[in-house]
Amino acid sequence: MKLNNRSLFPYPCLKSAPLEYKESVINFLINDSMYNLATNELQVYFSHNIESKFINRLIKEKLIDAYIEVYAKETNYLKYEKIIFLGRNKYINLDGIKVAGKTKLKMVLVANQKIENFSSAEFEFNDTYTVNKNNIVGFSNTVTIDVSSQNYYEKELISIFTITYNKDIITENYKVTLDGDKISIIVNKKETFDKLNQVISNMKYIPMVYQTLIIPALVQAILNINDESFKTNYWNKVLSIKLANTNLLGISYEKALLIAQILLKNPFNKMLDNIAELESRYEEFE
Amino acid sequence: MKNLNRYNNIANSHLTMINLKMIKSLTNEKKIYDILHFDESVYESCDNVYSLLDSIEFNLELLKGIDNDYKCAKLLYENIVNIEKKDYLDIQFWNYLATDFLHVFTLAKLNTDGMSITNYKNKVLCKSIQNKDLFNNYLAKLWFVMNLCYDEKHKYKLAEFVFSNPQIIEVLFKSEIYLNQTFLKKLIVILFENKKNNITDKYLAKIYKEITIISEGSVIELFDYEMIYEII
Repeated sequence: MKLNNRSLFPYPCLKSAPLEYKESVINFLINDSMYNLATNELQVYFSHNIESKFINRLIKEKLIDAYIEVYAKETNYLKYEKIIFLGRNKYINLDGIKVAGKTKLKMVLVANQKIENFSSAEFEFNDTYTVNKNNIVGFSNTVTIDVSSQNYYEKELISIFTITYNKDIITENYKVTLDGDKISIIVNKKETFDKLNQVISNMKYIPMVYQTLIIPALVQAILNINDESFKTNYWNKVLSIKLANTNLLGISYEKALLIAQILLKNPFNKMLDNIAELESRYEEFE
Repeated sequence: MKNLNRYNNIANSHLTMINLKMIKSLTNEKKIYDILHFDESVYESCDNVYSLLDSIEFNLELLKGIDNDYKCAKLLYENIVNIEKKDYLDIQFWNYLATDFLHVFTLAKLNTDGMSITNYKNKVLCKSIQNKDLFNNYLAKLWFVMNLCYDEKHKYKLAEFVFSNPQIIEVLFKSEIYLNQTFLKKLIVILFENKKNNITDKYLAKIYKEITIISEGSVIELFDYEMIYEII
């Protein structure tokens, strides 16, 4: 059903604006979302705020259940994911195939049994109401996220890498290891590690990081993708999906380098563009 | 307007494959399904669907003599049961199926005599995966009804019941109720078990009205059998 702040109920309903309640509201926020191409799951991290002592009490007494309503128009998909109010990191896992395109999410509070004396001083009109099982007693604002695998493509590819610091590693600059779930780029100098983290935080430098660090690591991974000892590693699963239609048997370094550049959508050109842009800014400044 | 443009783009991209002029002339000559064929270039844009269809063994000979929707749906479902979610949620899959792989079947089921291109588009192609459009596409309708109705307990009985009362598809599947699939499935089970022989247009209209009113303030998807039984 289409819920909005104008929706009318025969009892006060908690909304994102204080309408039938004097001051109480419910807010819903998406903090982050990650698409996992290996499992085809979309993990959506959210936070919410129910500013109503009355409703919070009913939730505690287990008279009200909270759900996240997920509606994807593009795939004609509607689902209610029950939320258990435990822990700080709240997230839901959604079927990444059934959820596609612009997807609307909102929190919906539903009575899980008949509530005879639905009454509170928080109500605008002081009266006692009856709420039936499965009646909606509150709903939040709607948050829309764009679930397209393309949006998550880069994020997901980069999620197979990790940059770490280990002073015991013997190397000149950095070393790449494939033993773990992620492809590890290890540096042995704290100063380098800190500088790297600073560089990564600036989007303008990302293509440079791709070109200088990620591509060599990715090439190494592609060359070892058929190695049986790495078959169960997460990075191997993700790369195998992305390279499902590519023949990687006996692959040469040149071909691996080409594939790595294609996978990362040619960061070399982006890097050159960004350098030129930074140069011109520097000249302007001078 | 935006949707219409989108539909036209999809529809046109498919119809360029079929050669519009040929369809029109053939429709007039009542021989459409004998000569209708595709340009090879279409395969480039439908690689995924094409390779998928390669894996489906659909014997067109079996379709001969089948004269009701339920039997067609059963045959179609049995042959296309193992497709992945991403494929059955792809309108290109259904459009491709209807205009290439099973066009003989589709056209044999539709009376194309004198049918205009617009009508042909509406009957054969899906505009979107939205249920209103989806259930206009003959093949998609058969498959999606079967997909919702089939289960280990009832096997094909629920689907047979639904296809024998086509107004159920018109009223319940084509409306917003279809979005609440768990609810719809339970409702069909209850109708099948209790009202099997009393399904009339008037009765369905009454149920539809009831559900619409209830869904204004409740999450019908969470209803149990008992609560749905009260509605009917």
